Amino acid sequence: MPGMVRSKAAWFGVCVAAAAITALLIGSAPDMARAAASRLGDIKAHGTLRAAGVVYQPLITRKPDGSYEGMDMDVMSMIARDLGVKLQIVDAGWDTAVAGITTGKWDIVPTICITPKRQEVVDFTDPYLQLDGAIIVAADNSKHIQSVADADKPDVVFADVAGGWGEEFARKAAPHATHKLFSQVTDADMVQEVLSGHADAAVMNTPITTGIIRKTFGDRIRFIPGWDQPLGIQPCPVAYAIPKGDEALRSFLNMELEKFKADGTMGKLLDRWLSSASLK
Amino acid sequence: MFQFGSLVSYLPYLAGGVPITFGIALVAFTAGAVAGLPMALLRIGGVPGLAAFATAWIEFFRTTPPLVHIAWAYYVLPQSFGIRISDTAVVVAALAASVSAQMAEVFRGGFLAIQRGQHEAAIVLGLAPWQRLWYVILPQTLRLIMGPACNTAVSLIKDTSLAAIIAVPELMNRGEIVATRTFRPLEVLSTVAIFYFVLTYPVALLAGRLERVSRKAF
Repeated sequence: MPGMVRSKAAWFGVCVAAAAITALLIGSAPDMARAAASRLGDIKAHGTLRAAGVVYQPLITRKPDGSYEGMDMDVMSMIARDLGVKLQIVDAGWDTAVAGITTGKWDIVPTICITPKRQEVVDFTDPYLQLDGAIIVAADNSKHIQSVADADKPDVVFADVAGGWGEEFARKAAPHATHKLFSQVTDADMVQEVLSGHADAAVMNTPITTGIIRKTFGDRIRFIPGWDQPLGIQPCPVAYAIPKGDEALRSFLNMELEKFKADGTMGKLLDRWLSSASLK
Repeated sequence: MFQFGSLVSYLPYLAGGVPITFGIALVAFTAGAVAGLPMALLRIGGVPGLAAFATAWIEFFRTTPPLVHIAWAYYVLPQSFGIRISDTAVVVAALAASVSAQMAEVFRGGFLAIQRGQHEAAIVLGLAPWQRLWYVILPQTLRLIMGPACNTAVSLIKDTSLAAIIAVPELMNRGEIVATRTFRPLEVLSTVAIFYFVLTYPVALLAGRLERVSRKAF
């Protein structure tokens, strides 16, 4: 009968929704305390060091065939070799980089800025690079943004990488501006947003990324205050992110990084990769 | 395992994406349905040039992914055609084109399902072509296509999530943002899925109900 059929379908839908919600609520038990075993044990047991494949010129980028290269790739390869394991890069974006550590998708994230918010959920090695930020605008932008104050208006659109350091920086620098948050993108995509006029401004690392932008795009991009002048709103100490509380992994990585700094390997790699870097 | 505590304070923000998702779907569906009817008529109309155009339009938008339409409109419209519209308008336009192709096929299915006798009787009664369409064919077609049209609407509501790639602040984009704030993609995206279910299931139920109503008419 028509009446019964109608309520059956509705009942089915209600039951599916109720089952889904109940399952999720039941699953909301507090996290079970994990044994304080270091990830190093797992890495050695599986013979693989998994790293998040984030992209940041020139420290780690993707080649057209999908493989990764860059200064941090070289450093991670050496670390894996010293550990006697294989290096495996897992596809990642800035929006999933930190979550991937807590959910066990990968062991380390290279090239990531230490921020207070991230420090709540993951630990970091000592920084191996110190960066800060500047704002970029298109030279032909009609809004004539000359200073941070000019950019801090609701009609100014910032293109931000969701979950990135740049997003925090941009929100602190221009809290009244409109922020467009993109997932699964890199700094190069944000530069294209600004150049094409879809967005008015973006935050970039200085001096590395701003230097590359200046080299690639010349005077089509203007910097506030200047390509090698940081705004100092939120510095970016670059380090490796590791699981929270993993002191063994942390000491091991710090030792490795110290070694590469001391024998000049890091400096040489940085110079080599910087000289060939371009955002095209 | 799951931890929903950190998510609670973001629920109002997430919920704010629902009207935007619904609005995009509503406008895109209306525009697509309104555009789909003439496309279907042109396709079966028999005027060679127009029929070819309509067929090309329908087949192109049906066989290519809506994501491609959105990305294409976002990059090509400003750069090659100098058309500067808001991101939301870009998504609505791209999805409306997709929907127009699907709805054209839905209408065509409806036209073809009407008994030949109806057409012949209308001709015999001396009705002009537009009168045949307006008084005899179209009312019957609308009754027949209500179910499939609702299915298209459900697909469309889900496809609005594609707007997230150009950072339109609809439900999926807000979900991604909250996931990066709380570092808990699993819980956040489960909640987003529930929101979409709540949006689409009533429409799916409506489709079933309308199908029963349309069967009653005959």
